[in-house]
Amino acid sequence: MITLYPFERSSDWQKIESVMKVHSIYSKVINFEGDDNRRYSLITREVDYLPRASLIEALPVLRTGESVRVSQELSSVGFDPSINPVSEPANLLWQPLWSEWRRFLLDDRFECLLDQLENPERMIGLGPGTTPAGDDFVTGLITAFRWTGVEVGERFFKALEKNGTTWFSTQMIRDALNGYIWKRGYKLCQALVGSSASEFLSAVGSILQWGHLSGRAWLAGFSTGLEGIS
Amino acid sequence: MKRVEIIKGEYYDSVTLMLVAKELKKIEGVTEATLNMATEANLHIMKAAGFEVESVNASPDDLIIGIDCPGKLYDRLMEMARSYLSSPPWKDSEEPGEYTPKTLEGALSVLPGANVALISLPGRYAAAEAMKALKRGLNVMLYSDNVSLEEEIELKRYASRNELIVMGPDCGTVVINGQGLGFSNVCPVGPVGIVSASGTGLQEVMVQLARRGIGVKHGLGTGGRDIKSAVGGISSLTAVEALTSDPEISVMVFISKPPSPEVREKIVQALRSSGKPSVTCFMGESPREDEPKLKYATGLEECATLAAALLGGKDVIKAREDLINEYLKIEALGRKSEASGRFLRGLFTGGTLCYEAESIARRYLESVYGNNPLEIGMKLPDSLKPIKNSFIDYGEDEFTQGKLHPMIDPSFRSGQLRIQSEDPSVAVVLFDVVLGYGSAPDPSADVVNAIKSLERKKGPLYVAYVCGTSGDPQNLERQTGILKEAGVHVFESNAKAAIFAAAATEGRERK
Amino acid sequence: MSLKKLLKDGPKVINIGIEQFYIDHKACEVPTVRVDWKPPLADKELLGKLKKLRGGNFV
Repeated sequence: MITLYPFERSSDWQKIESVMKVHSIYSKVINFEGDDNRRYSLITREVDYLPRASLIEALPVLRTGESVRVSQELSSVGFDPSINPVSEPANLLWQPLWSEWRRFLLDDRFECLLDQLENPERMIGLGPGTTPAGDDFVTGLITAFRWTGVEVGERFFKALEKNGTTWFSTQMIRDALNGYIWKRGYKLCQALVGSSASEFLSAVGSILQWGHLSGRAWLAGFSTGLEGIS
Repeated sequence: MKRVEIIKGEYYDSVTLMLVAKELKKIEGVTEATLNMATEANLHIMKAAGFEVESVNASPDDLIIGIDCPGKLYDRLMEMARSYLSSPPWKDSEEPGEYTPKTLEGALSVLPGANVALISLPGRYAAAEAMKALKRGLNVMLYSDNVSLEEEIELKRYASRNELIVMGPDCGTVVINGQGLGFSNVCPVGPVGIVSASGTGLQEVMVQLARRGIGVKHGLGTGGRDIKSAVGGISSLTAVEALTSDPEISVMVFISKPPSPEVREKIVQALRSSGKPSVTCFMGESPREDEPKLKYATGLEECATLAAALLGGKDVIKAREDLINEYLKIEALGRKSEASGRFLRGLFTGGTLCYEAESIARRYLESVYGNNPLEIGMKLPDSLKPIKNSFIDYGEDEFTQGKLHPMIDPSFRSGQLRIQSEDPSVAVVLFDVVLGYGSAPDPSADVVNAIKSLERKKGPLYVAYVCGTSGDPQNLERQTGILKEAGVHVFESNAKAAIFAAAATEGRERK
Repeated sequence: MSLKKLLKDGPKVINIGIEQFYIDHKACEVPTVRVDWKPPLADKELLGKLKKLRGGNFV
């Protein structure tokens, strides 16, 4: 079994030594399943930080299902994924912009989501994309709730148990419910309390770059979380 | 085989439609591909090109795709067209690094100090966006045409009450503090201020001033209808007032077609009261006596010549005389040229350049028709079928509904140029090439390709004017060079080209 | 901002429509931003669904 030594990690990756199984392999990320059944990820770019992620110089060549050991003895903390409920509200200067993201729901591929607007927990598992767009919407929504200190109802936890969705999405939604955020989202939150247009536009652009459909759905959800549903 | 298909209710901007058509035309076997919003005018053009549109059930909000190709390719090509529309192949595969706002309000979050909105949406949407912009305290440059007179008046009245200006509709060129917006040539900055009711009129005067070493500080457009009595010159007067109070402006220029009498009087009065030496160019008017501080030009080059004389403290009368002598020499040259055929066709992308050229041609030729003629009875029943001497402005509304302006996409004018050139009765073809920001990257090349593909044994005499400066992105020298290489007679002003072309055609009509 | 102030300060442009104008302005270092404009909503049913969301300018 090979041992991997990332040089940096997110603060919520606490075990010094873990054994995990390769779940999915991408060009810049490898996702693993830990013995606690949770997702762990090895990334190569800072911008890709998410909960339980570690930065490594280069991705090793692995096979799905293969077991590896990951040692954090050489790594320092590079990212804290906990959502800190914001002390100052989002800068209202950006409101016209975040209000635009609800328009993403007009994409006719998202029609099924629009039907569930009043009961967003029903969007879990719904919609197009490798991660169903409904999951991205719900993640964005919950993240916004967490960030603005709005209580997140039981219904989301229950729906996650009941409906089930892809393994990755389940992890993603659960992380949001538990108050964790990915770096791209974190940068957006930072920009939202600031007043730099270029910082704001880059942060949004970065989310759209991550996944064309997913990014839009996440932003639509986040914006809905900021404004609410009447 | 020519077939059409409708895609209902999808909005695509004209640039996207043009680029998709271009991509389809690259494919082997495709003779023609055209994508347009299904406006009446576009359906007419497609019909003239041989597409079966009679039985088509489409509204101007629907997209109509016409393809001419072998039958077996058709389905695949249509699929490709749809695919290109949803994922444009010329765009980067990744999303751009920064988010682009989708609303005016969103844009104001990004640029809170914005002071002008440049609106180039289809006419039916433009007025509403313009009003939104005015209400947010922005001045408006309204590039869009196909905006109704009622909408224009409402916008301008609102602007006037709020110390703002609406430049347009149909305003393609504005210069503020030496910086061009929309279509603009790279010109020096200097002590001249211009108000113009015509886009290419402003460009031509600025280019002619630049050639005389003189710069312009502000060039404010008003749109062509502003000087009519219905609008009452609202934007013209706002602009004149603003230039009057700018201490860096020493000479003022006003360019338009002849205004309604009461508007003309207001404008002239405002120029007189400014206390600054001024030149008016009410194109096509008969010459009238100059006043001590107000000079009357009737042509664009003359206007620049007089403004230059005023600035340099030179004798205006002599300046005019010298110019006339130059014109006489060119006229003589024109009369000596050989041409086979009887008529002149003026095929233009710049509306004012067309207007000025036609007005000059009428001094030499008997019957001059057009799609926007100087004389009411001379309107062509079908702009795609010019007769006798004709001047066609391809930037007119009928050609730009859901289609790009010919200065941006010269292919349509080039196609028509080729068709006209094949007509053995056409002796002279006169055309303009407009350079500068906003214009196509290589407009002369388009025309030269059309000229080179001519099948007619003895082709017409080609005469052209290239409106541009050495600073323009298209490279003036190169644009002029390739035209000359293709045998085109290129002149240094719109007026000179028109004089030569008209003189060369004079007398042939009766043959 | 009044016309006189516009002439004094120089243009800061919001471009709504043809992208080339935005590209040219950027190349000339004019402060500028582009609006990726879409037509207002015509579909009543869709509008009804979206109106459930608070805030936002959907028209």
